[in-house]
Amino acid sequence: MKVTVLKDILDANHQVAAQNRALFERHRLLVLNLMSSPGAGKTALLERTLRDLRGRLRIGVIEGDIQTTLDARRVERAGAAWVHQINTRGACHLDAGMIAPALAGAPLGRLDVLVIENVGNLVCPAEFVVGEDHKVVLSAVTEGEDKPAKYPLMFRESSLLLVNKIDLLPHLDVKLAAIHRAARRVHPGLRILDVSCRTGQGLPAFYAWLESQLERRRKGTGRGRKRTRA
Amino acid sequence: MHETSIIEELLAIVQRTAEENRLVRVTGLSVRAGEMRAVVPELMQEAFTVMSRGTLAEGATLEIESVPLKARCRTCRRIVRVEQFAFFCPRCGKALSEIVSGKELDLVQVTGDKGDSP
Ligand SMILES: Nc1nc2c(ncn2[C@@H]2O[C@H](COP(=O)(O)OP(=O)(O)OP(=O)(O)O)[C@@H](O)[C@H]2O)c(=O)[nH]1
Ligand SMILES: [Mg+2]
Ligand SMILES: [Zn+2]
Repeated sequence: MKVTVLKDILDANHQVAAQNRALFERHRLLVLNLMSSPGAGKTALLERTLRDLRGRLRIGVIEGDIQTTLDARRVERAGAAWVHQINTRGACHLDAGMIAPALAGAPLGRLDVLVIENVGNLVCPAEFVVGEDHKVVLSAVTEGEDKPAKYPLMFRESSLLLVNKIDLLPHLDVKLAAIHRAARRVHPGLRILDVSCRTGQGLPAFYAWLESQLERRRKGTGRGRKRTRA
Repeated sequence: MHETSIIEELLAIVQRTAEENRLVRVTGLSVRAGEMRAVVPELMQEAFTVMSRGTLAEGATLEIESVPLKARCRTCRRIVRVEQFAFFCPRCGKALSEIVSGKELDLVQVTGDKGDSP
């Protein structure tokens, strides 16, 4: 006997992600799913952002890590308003079902932004939505120019690409323009910012992006309250 | 590898489908995976073989059909095949924003045996 099913295999994940999202919306929280290959600088970006925006934005962080709690400790020291560590126990990505229990005890009402640092990996995290507003992908100039072509889904699904470690450009043969071109082949119109989490170069543009997204977020779900400019 | 997570979800849906349709054994599954989804068929097969052991779907064949990536050009309205993930219309050179196929990851069909009792 044949049974026609025609169902999205990741439907269960989508449903939990929708529940997470409803919770985020209730708190008018901007949620970013931060992704990159291992070591591109996700935690460095968080540390720097937390220090630079202290007093301006209340940022919570969920750290997804296969094994250690090192990154959670780093962002805690940098002044995160709330930090939660998820050990994926070997899984190479976070999914919505791992995020949901973490949200139960979270002070979401006291945060402006929640950043979910995904496991370092350019393939699997792109497959699993967690309820985020935006995926943000980080790619270090040391990774070369071919990453968007090799991992198209990640670059296609992201709203923002941060090209990190530009302080190292003098030591490399890589051209920023070539990285941009490769990314926009897969995702024409992709917003790209070149940054260094070491020197801070380019980061003000990232902070401006964050604040504009937060404002949009609040307008979109604030139902008249907090409505600033038209 | 995300193939493991995908197979885990797949087996859960198969189990439910089998119960709803009173299947005592599942002999075949067909899945459609879009080109954008970066699933490696060999890894899917391996994960399925290992993870289906002891389930209704143990020994079933897993058929994975790859779905080509296609997008609609907003300018010339044509649906074009996206080659090598370059999202530009080969005719007018404009950016392709609307994907029409190639992102799906669906369980399409389950084949199995009904129990003897009516
Ligand atoms: N030169 C330079 N080094 C950087 C920059 N950003 C990060 N790094 C260094 O790169 C290394 C990895 O940075 P992390 O922030 O731990 O990277 P990550 O993406 O969080 O790594 P995982 O969580 O393990 O995937 C660290 O030694 C950082 O100091 C940068 O802009 N320039
Ligand atoms: Mg990290
Ligand atoms: Zn066209």
